[in-house]
Amino acid sequence: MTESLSSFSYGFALFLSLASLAVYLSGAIWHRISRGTVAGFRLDFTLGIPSVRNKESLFAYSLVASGTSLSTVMVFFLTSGSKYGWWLFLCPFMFAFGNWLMFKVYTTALAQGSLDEEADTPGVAGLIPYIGQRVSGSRRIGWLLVLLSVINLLAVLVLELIVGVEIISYLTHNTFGTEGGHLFDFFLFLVAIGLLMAYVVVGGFRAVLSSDIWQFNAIKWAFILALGGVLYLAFAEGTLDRGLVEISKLSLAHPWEVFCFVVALGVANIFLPSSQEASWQRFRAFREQADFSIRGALIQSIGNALFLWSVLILLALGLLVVAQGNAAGQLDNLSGVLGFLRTLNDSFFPFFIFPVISLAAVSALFSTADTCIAALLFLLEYTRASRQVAPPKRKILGLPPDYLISLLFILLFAVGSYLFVRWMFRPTILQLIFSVWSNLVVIAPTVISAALLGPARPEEAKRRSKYIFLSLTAGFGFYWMPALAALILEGDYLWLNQISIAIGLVASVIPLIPLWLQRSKPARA
Amino acid sequence: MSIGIGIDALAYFVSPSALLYRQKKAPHYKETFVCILDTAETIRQAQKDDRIARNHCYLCRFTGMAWLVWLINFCIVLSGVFLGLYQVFVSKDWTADFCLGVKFHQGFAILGALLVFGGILYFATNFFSSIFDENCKSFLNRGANTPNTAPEGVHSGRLSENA
Repeated sequence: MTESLSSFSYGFALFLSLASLAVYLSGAIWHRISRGTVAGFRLDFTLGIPSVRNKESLFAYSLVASGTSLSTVMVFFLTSGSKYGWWLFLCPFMFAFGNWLMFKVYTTALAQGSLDEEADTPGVAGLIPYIGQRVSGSRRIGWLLVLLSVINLLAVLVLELIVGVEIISYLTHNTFGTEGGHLFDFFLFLVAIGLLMAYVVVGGFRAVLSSDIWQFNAIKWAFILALGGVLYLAFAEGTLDRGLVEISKLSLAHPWEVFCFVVALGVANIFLPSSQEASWQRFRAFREQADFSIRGALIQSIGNALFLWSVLILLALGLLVVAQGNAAGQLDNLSGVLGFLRTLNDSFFPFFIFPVISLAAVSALFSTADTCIAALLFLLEYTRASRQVAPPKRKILGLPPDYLISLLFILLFAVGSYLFVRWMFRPTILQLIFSVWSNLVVIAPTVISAALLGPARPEEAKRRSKYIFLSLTAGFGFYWMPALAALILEGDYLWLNQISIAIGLVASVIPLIPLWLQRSKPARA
Repeated sequence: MSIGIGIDALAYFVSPSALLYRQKKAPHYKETFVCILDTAETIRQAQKDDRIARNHCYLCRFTGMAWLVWLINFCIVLSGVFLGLYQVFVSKDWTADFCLGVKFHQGFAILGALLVFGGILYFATNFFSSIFDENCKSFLNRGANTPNTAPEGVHSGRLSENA
């Protein structure tokens, strides 16, 4: 392929990625225009859903699209096939099980009365802190849960943007033949977070949900088409049999790494869905829809998640098959994967698969990142609503001033974290994925307690809040000790990151065992 | 889910919106073109309820855009077909330059990628169409009691049929 055609391939991918961003942004603007003047602004902004016929599909697409992030799913699967082989297939099944558990926790908590909204209830504020407040009878527990959830969401947001910036920067530099630089990457980061914030501010939660559908479809079809292309190549070159044997060998080559991976992924995928504010925000938003079937939503969510993740893993393993050993080393970072895909032949891959996968990457980035910002605004609203401070009536730039303060906080934290991670402290993306993504697992026992114990009666409140406080702080502390050690120590300590997930979970479960053992009958029959 | 994938496949391979409507995946398009030709003001005057009128306008605009996107996608497919025919009967060489140094097989790949992007656009426009269609219906169902006084050709029968 000539140099000009090669640049065209990069440029075409960049164009399609940016054009898809323009579609998502224009969707947000249309949502704002169509909404007009809404009396219950906060309710509409943080929990409004588009009026579509099939609400179960909307819920399922949205849940899976926001769960299929660029960094923790797409990059992770595409770059770790050579490390974990067939074991990757555990992830979709664990994730499906985690989704089932989340639905179970939600329906039980609802039946127990843990989600009932009373006079002093922050009805349009974060649900995880609220159920923490209900189960413990303490607002401080609510604020602690806000803190833990905010840290996680902000970290995931920054991680997504770091990976997203890498991809856009890779496409831009190869298109225009320029050299990469930290300043340019930082500029891209600022533009990306600015666009994301504008998108959520303009369109609200409705826009986040709507674009999730298009993003889900874009990701799904990109993976299916890429898998088709890779399988065709594997069959055409006759490398399939040999490649599958190689993958089987790889799967058994590093038993200790595989053990840590299985423990980490098992714990995280099972318990993370129920700990994420974004999932609960969706439950709360769909709760009042008369024609919404939670069972139908569950079935569709699990089906979509299993399908999408399995196709992605097949694609990752298919790339290993066509890479044939010597090129496999290229597949340990996303730029390498994209570069590898682009050079598999001189037509179908550089001009079709490569641009379409780039478009899917940007869609995955946007679907998770906008969900993070919407969930952060929903969470931070709790800090106002739990103090029963009346919402200010005045608006600046069409938003209440407290939302603007929240956005400013998100922006400052995100910029600070980006600078810290990129310029001062340079962990690998895989380390960041395991550290950042999984720390929320320490919240899961508290959320499950809401389903097991129901709301606290006044005489139980003091005792429960003590145990839950201990659970959260111990879980957080024990999680971050090994995780930080793994990040700071020189050398390959990824296993320590992975094991820290199980350690954090165990540490947060132990203080709650007495409560679970002595649980009284639910407060509400 | 398989039905969903089938519908998506139809959408990506530029099925007319009418097919999607039969699968209850898109609003009805019967009088779209008449509707697009009317000004927003005409529709506003025809509908007493401002909410319905506003949503009605958006519905028409997005329905029109969905058709436009469909048309562009269809043109891409037609270009692919003509390119294929030209290649098979005239050029007969896949590796020959088609235009600006781009070879035939590369041209097909580019058209394919554009079609995927067109698919996203098509989804987006259809999605908004269906939202505004639902909005109009829900306003009518809420007992807006707006007599359908739309003049002939202003989308008059469609909403009352569906409501």
